[in-house]
Amino acid sequence: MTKIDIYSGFLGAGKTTLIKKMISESYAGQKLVLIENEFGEIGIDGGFLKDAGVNITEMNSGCICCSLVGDFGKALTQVISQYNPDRILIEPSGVGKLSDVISAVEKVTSADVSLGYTVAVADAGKVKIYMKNFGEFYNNQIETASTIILSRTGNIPQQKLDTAVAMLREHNADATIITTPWEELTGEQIVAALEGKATLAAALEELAQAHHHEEHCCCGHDHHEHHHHHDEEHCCCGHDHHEHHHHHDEEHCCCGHDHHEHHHHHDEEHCCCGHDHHEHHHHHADEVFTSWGVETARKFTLEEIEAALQQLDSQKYGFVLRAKGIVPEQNGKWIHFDYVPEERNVRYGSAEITGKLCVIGAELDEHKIAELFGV
Amino acid sequence: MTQIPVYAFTGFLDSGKTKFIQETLEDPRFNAGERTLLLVFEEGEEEYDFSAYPAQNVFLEVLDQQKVTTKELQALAKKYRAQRVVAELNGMQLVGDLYSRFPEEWVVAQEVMFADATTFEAYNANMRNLVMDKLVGGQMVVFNRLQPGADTMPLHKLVRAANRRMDILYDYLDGTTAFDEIEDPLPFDINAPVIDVKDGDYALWYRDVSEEPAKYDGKTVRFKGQVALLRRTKENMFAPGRFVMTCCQDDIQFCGIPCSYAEAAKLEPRSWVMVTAKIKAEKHPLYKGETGPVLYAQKVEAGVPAASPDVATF
Repeated sequence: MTKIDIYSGFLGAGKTTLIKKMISESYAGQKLVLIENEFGEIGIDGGFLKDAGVNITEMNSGCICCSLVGDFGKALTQVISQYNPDRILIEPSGVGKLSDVISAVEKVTSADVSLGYTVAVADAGKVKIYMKNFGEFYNNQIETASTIILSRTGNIPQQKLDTAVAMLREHNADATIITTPWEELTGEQIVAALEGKATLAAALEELAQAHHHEEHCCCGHDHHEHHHHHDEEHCCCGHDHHEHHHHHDEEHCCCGHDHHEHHHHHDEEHCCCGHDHHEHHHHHADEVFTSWGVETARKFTLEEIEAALQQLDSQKYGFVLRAKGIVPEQNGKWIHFDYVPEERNVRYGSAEITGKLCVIGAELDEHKIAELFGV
Repeated sequence: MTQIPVYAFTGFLDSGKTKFIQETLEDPRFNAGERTLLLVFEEGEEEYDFSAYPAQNVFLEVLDQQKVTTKELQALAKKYRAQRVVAELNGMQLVGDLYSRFPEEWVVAQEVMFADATTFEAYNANMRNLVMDKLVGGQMVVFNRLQPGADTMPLHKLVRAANRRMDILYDYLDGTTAFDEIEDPLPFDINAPVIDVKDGDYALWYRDVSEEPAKYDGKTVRFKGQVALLRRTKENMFAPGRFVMTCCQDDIQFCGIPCSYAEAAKLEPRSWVMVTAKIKAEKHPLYKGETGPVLYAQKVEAGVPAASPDVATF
């Protein structure tokens, strides 16, 4: 089984540096072939590749006017039959469209060969001017990539980084965007991002799950009422339909596990979930439990986080049941926090691919929360 | 119709175009109050500061180089009653593409390229057609961000492959500047009784004889080429030449020189021949009324082996 990963990005974005990091930290133990379609500013030295057991194939049609597609497909097929690698890493020409490279790859995919990661590497400080002046091929890389990895994020003012991320988001709503300087990340973390496991949706799901498991119910409005439930009722999602009907109409109830049972609930029953966004639409319109999450490259201080979490207790932001975040601090450290009403745990921890803030609760005022965290 | 001179500044993003234009417009020697239309086709990090100009005579318009039309340009010149145009071009677009949309009365007075020496070679390796495009038509190229004492030969060679006459200015990080004064001796002796052009030097010779035919007037040359027939001049003429590649496969074109030869009709098109001929600098329909090199064959040997590689490069 061969996977083909593509690392696109304009000249000087740092593709080669990233690929080097991936080879030594993320692809260990795999049989690799590197196809270079670009003459880099820094070449990957042969010794390094030999030590890592990587075969390298250079394709020197490295200029925009020569068609990449014809020879490219041939080269790929050749490489696959010659080396039968686990992974082929492609570093295409920086001025080419990622979608063209993907099409070329898809022509050779089969039961044994499939498209892997599609990455766009972008110099964080240049996103704005490149987008404005380069147009098509640059935007194509951004729009087509499933993961956008920003380089040199540590060297630019916060505002510039925020603008860059916002512009990238405008062009690609779904891609995972890595804003953390690479040296702070492990190869494993980058792979998780590339695999689509480091998304905001995943973080929210994790938070909702944590909430679910620990509290056995996400209502939490009326603990006393809860105790009337049977012990087996780890959630109010209707193990016992009859019992449900005994609830008061005002009872806020969580579920999300079993949609069929939902229909048995009264319309007035407020139900939360947060397990799966796609399932949201199955719920009734008057549900009150919501989740709010945001990815941000903004840097925080411990004091700011403490103060913000303290504010959440005031209920001015809605009834927050749980909040969790991992955000960068100015000096390269990362702040991790967990919040349940009246209880805050703020500490230092390991870096993430980008900052994340997640909140679940009832009647959340999302604007106010965003404002509170300055995002 | 009053002509409007255009000063065009080319090069990639971050190459120093805006800074140079800004400084030039601040200089009263270049800016004596002429109404200047400043066209910006690329918006980089640097911004224009109008307060520093000696007169309120500069009118800025930001335009899309791919989409702008002749009519729009004409209307802008009229709107501002522009006496001249200063244009900052987009490095990722072809210069000639824009020029072809210039109004008739616009005349390119000067084209200057800017290049960041730290990225130039990588850009050239990967976007050679875009680099060549800026080099071939320019009168001057400025390489900036050079380390004092840096080897300028690689830059010199890249420029000279595209443009023999362009002035090259090196702008060093310590604030000093220097003109490129590296001489390029031709790889063949133009004073020999017969100028012997080796297979690998055809492109260079062709360019030299085309640019300066007078220099070769009356001399004799010997070179290997392929036979091309000239459609319009029937009388004993053919055009020996070679396929020449300047940048890459897409720009390969046949570069031949009209040659008078009594047996021309017997020659097999595209076959390889060794030509010994006298060169004259004269007018020929191929040069559209201009003077160019015309050959008078003394000897044409057929059946010679093809040059290898068959495509000539610089």
